[in-house]
Amino acid sequence: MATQHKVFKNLYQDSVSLMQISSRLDKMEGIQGASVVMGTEANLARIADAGFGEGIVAKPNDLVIAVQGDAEACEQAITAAEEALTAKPDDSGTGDSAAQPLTSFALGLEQHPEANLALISVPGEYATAEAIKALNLGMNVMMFSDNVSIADERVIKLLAVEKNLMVMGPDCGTAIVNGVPLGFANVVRRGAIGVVAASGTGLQEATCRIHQLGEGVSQALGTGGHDLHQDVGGLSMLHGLQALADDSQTDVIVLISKPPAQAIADKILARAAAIAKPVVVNFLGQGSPNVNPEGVFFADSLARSAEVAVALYRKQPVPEARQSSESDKHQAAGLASRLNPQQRYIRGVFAGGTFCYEAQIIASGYGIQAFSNTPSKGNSPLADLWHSQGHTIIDLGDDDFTQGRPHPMIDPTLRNQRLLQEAQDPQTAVLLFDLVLGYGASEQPLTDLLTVIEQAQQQTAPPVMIAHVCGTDADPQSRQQIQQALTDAGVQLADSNADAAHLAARIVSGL
Amino acid sequence: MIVAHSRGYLCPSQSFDGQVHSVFARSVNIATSLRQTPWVSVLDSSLPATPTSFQCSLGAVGNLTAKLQVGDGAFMRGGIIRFKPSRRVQINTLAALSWQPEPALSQLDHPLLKRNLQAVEQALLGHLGKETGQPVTALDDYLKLSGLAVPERLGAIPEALFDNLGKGCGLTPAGDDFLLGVLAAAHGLRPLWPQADQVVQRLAAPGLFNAYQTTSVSAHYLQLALAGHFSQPVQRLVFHLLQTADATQVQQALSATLAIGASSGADTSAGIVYAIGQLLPH
Repeated sequence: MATQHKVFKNLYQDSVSLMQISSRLDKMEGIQGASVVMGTEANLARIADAGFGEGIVAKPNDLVIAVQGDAEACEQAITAAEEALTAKPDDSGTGDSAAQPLTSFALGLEQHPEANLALISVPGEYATAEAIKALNLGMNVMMFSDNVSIADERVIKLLAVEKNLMVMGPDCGTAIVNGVPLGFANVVRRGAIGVVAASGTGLQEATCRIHQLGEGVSQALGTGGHDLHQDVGGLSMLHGLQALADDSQTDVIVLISKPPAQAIADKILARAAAIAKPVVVNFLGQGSPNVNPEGVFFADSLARSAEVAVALYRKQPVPEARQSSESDKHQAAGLASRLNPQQRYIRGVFAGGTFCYEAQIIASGYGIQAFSNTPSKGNSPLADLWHSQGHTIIDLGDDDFTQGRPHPMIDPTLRNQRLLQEAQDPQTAVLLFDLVLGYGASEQPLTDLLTVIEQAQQQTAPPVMIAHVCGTDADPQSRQQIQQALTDAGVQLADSNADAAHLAARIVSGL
Repeated sequence: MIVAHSRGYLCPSQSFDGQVHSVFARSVNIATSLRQTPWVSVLDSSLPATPTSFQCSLGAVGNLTAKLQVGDGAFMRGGIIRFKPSRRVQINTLAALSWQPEPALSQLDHPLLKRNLQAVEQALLGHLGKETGQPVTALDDYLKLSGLAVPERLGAIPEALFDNLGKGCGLTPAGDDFLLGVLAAAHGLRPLWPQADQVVQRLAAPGLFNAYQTTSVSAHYLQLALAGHFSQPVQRLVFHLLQTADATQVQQALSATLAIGASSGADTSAGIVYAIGQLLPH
């Protein structure tokens, strides 16, 4: 058996390359062993011990290749190693910009100088830097990324204010800009109503309802759920509000958020009142304030914010808040009569976080205290996320349930399992759920769901099932067809999430 | 021009002159004229951030070895790193955000640490078994395979770890990476654990570390380690191991460390596990 070695002076290769060369040499026919190491004293001693030859002279920064095997094979191995180490590298990043992959915003702008919006979807720890780069390049930003700290969000948004640019996000999953849906968004007609929302599904509900009522959307801007946090100051909502105020295509503006800090709410309402266009505000669960600034209209639900906006656009009287009619009560009583005395509770299983929140608020208006993984004011956290207790209204899109698995709007498997689990609980009176359509959402939302509903209906005492489908007939998944299939399966359908929650609450409160 | 998005907390802001020390497909090391920061790296975003590195997306540049050579001039003026004679690579560091070291240990929860250590050791042994294709059921198996000798009691003769210097495959040999892991763990524990502080002090004693026993790239990282500075994934692993109750975060930190180099991350993790096991009171 022969041994051969070669020392490459001051040659640095990264560890992965060294391992690849070593592995390649090892596999060559006639080679019984190969060592590819840096020429440190310790390594030279080791390869001498391993029989690769004594007396190899090298320094720590030299690369040593040593092989054992047939003499001819050793020769070939050394040559192959030398070729691999000295091969001229691919010089593909040189001049032709058309051939360059677009790996930075700056490169993208070189090829598409007209671009003015950067969509950022990278792990949260990198998102801040990318957002700052985009803003410094003069681009508006939509940050799909989450896990960005409040402090970083403030830094990004202050920079955006300085540059008069819009930042949507972090954790902004929904927007419609100049008619182009971004992230989870629905296909809605273009029109004169602009929406700014600190809630993804809230934005979807409002834009879909506007479409369903026959009007259209000029722009739908998300701000990210933390924008109205005291430390961020509603900077994106304020910017979006002003942008829509300045937009000649927008006649009416809708603002949606969970209740902000009072100081932030005051600031936003003051700005809204100063705008010459009507502004509809839905701060979920906050109700109407004592002071009602001129030109600002308060709505008590997501859907109603759309209904008020449509009425304002059509210059019709603003509809009064909807009260339970005799017909509503009759419907609820009819459905309640199917239940047995043991069935007492609402079980809400939601994919949309804001739908879950809105359902809790509406139920609490009926005196129903619920448990949830995202409890609204007055409600309590669930002791065990995986098992309901009493009235339970959960958001399966929350981090509690989505770590390591897709969001239920994308893959409804977990939602369907939970629906069946609730249906099999003899205490469940009403099973309340949502189905969110549009871009990004599951293309086949009924797959497995109809089987689950069928199994639920086969229970000795099936619960009343109430659903709301958030979407439009222009969505990739047709809302009309899905609603028909659910109705055929015995599900009670509501026009909006609020209507669904009201019906559920009426049934249970009448038991 | 490439825009760096991240900078290590030891990266210089002032102008410097230097030359290319080593260049790889996705990174370049620069020996600088600065006394405080004699070594600066420019790394692709896919590589682990170090205290002295600027990070940027180098994908568009192609293979750096086609553009730069060892010995090329390198200099920074006005926050922009340029090279000569090549002008094809320019790095704008002005917008780069500095990452900060993980916070120092403020309290020690022994049961938590023990739990985390067991979980990391199991995951690491599984990884090593897969990588080597041989059964690795204990840290001793790994040490035998790597040819590394470690003191039975780290606190008694930590200096023995220097016998492994330069030993093993890769640009940063396994013995160096293992030592780096020991230093990371000892630095992490030292604010609250006097034995760890003693290990750090003895390993950092002047004249003990002979940089010429290993490659200069590895020597740079060991010098930083002796001063208490480590790459971001290593810092995070130690931080989460010592202080985090969330097992997922600990596992993620381990995964990020294992992804360093070909086997460097695993060797470093082994050093961390060994050192904490040695320094933790039984």
